[in-house]
Amino acid sequence: MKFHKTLAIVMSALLVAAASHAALSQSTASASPADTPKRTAAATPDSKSADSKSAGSQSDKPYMVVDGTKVDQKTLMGWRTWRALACERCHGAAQEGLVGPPLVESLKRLTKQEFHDTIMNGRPEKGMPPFSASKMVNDNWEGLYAYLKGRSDGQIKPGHLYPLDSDKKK
Amino acid sequence: MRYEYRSLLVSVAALAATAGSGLAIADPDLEKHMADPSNWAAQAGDYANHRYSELNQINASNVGKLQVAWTLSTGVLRGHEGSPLVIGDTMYIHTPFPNNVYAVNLKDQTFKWKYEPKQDANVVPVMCCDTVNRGLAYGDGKIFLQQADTTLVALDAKTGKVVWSAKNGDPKIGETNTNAPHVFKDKVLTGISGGEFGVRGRVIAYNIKDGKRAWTAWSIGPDSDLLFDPQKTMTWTNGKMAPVGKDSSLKTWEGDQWKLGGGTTWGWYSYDPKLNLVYYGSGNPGTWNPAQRPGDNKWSMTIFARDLDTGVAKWVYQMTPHDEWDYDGVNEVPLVELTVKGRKVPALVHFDRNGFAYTLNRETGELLVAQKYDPKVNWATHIDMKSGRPVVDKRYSPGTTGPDVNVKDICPAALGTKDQQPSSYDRKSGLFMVPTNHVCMTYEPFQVEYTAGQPYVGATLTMFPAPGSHGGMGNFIAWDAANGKIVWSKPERFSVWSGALTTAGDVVFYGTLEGYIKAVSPKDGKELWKFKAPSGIIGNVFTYMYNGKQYVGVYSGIGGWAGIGMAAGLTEETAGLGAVGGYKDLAKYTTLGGSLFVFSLPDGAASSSSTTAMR
Repeated sequence: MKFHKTLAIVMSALLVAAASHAALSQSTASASPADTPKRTAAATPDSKSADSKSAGSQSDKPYMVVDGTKVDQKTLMGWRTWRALACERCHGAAQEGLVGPPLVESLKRLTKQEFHDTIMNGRPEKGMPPFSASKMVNDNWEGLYAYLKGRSDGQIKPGHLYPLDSDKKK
Repeated sequence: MRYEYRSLLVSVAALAATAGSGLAIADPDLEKHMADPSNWAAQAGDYANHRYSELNQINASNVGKLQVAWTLSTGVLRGHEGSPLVIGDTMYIHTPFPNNVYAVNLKDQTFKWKYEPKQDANVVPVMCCDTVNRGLAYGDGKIFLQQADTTLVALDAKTGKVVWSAKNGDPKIGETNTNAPHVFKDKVLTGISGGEFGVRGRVIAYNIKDGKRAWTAWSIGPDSDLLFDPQKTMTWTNGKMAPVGKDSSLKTWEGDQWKLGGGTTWGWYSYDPKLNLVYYGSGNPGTWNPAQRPGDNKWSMTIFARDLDTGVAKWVYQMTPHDEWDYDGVNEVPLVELTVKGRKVPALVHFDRNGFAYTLNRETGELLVAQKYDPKVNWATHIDMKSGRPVVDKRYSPGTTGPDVNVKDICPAALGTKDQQPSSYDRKSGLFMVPTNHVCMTYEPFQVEYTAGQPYVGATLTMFPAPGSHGGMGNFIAWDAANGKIVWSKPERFSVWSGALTTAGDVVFYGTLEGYIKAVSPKDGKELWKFKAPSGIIGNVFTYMYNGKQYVGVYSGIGGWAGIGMAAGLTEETAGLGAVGGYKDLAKYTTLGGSLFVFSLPDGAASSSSTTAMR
């Protein structure tokens, strides 16, 4: 029973994904407005003063991060996607590179478009699978880009991430 | 009932065939070659998985003089598991993906033939992250190669020409192969990998002559898929053997989750010709997040005893019900005669990933001994001998704490107290020589959704050397399987990911991740000789005799799970994730490689030293 339910979710998601994928490829450089909270929205009034300072300095970044482990919802979903697709099996738990290249380095070079194309089409000759069939990747690839950009910039710590409003210290 | 009937038919048909052709059902070719210790005719040397050689020209008194006889590059820089085979004057070498096969003339080390399969490169990502292959099988004048893309190929051992090929899976849904095929009697058996892709495991038996499928036995699913007879297939229940009953697997899964159930079959199989039973273990249940699959998840993590002719299961034993740690049950199942509590028993021994070593009666399936073979094992306090189930310590149970909770200091780590690296049985002392891991982990499960062909893992984990111990990540141990006791334990800096070999010369060999091949005494583990190969060793040591001279060989080429995790050279930053100490170190010792090393004694050393040994 559970499987049928999951299957139904996956199937409907594929339809959504197909639609949103088409939309995304038209406007890859900017986040699609529907599923992306405004960056400033994360700097909520209850943020601590230190937080809003660091948030301000990151205004040109695709992610919001506080204390290295608390991130905006989109970036959080990007990290969850990283985790669900088991990217660490090839790229390392800290994106330092194993069989696959170190993404902390790659993200310094790749444009957002190149990142999108690589993850969707893969690099089969090098051992990178295409992820275009994954609902989670289609829904969250921009968040994944944001997460890896944050890792590459040294702003987001490796390991578990939490929502911005989480009281989790580490 | 159905299976009773069917097996009856099969046996009648088999009898008729034997009577008619006058040819033995057994493979006289393989059995003849295995009986001669000059050959290394099967991956374990024999049907019973002893990894023991009667050769004794190289022995405890002269092994210190061992030197390189010749080397060969395989041309592939990936993890080299398994070992070559030797039949007469020919050595058969395999490589990781693309799975090339070379027949080498032992006279001059020239190539007799090469087989270089064309495989779709798309199979590599599905094998993430290392493209190992555990070797070839020989029988009926053929060499069997189980390619990564799930094609099983039979090659003419003399020419390398394809005699037949068969496809046993689909890489598009995550099915691949890393296991060696196994030749038993008139069949060649193979399995499937993909436990991290929602693949449902099975063993497939092909007729050795023509590659026709004889039977397929699934690990998980309805009785008809399992080849179970609910009344006659037995399991250890309440202190005795009892029938498994109807739907023994389906009852232990919620809904259709069993269809992604795992229980893959990528390990080493053994065979008892007298009982005509095949033994092997199944892997982890689908998704590492236990919350998504309530129940015992039978028959993942299980040892199967199956009739070779029909595939019907005589008995089963599940080591780790409802896995929460990825403790695959695929490790080898060596067959030995033991005296347990004063009773002589036809036994099988199994060093499970879960850190317990099991001794069972291989004829009946009765549980005799189950003890920790690393004192640091903590996920279960002990095995309850009446139920046969582990008594789980809730502090180390990610299934109890639930998703998104990071459970710390679980021992052993997911790669187990021992992974696929096979142990060796010392026929003289009756002890097992066991290469082990000494690694613990943190484990955080999380919800995952299934997409065909995409990873279906559902847990993040980090590994580190067992705390409060010698700081290393491995031990090489001697194990008394009748009493369930460690006899001696030799610490190693890294996991010992290389298969051991014991010889009648009172020497046991194994390789290390740094790249040493070592010879130690099976009596006390004392080091007698070592040699540093260019790349870490995850292959299995083998021996053979050619032109009156004994040789010992092993592949050098780091990779595999251990190599991938440990050769990474993790940065300071990740030390906080638990990847501390030894992990970083490996990069100081070794790098990728792909070569075969063959050792022998210098001329004259063998004869003079063997007289010394006799004195």
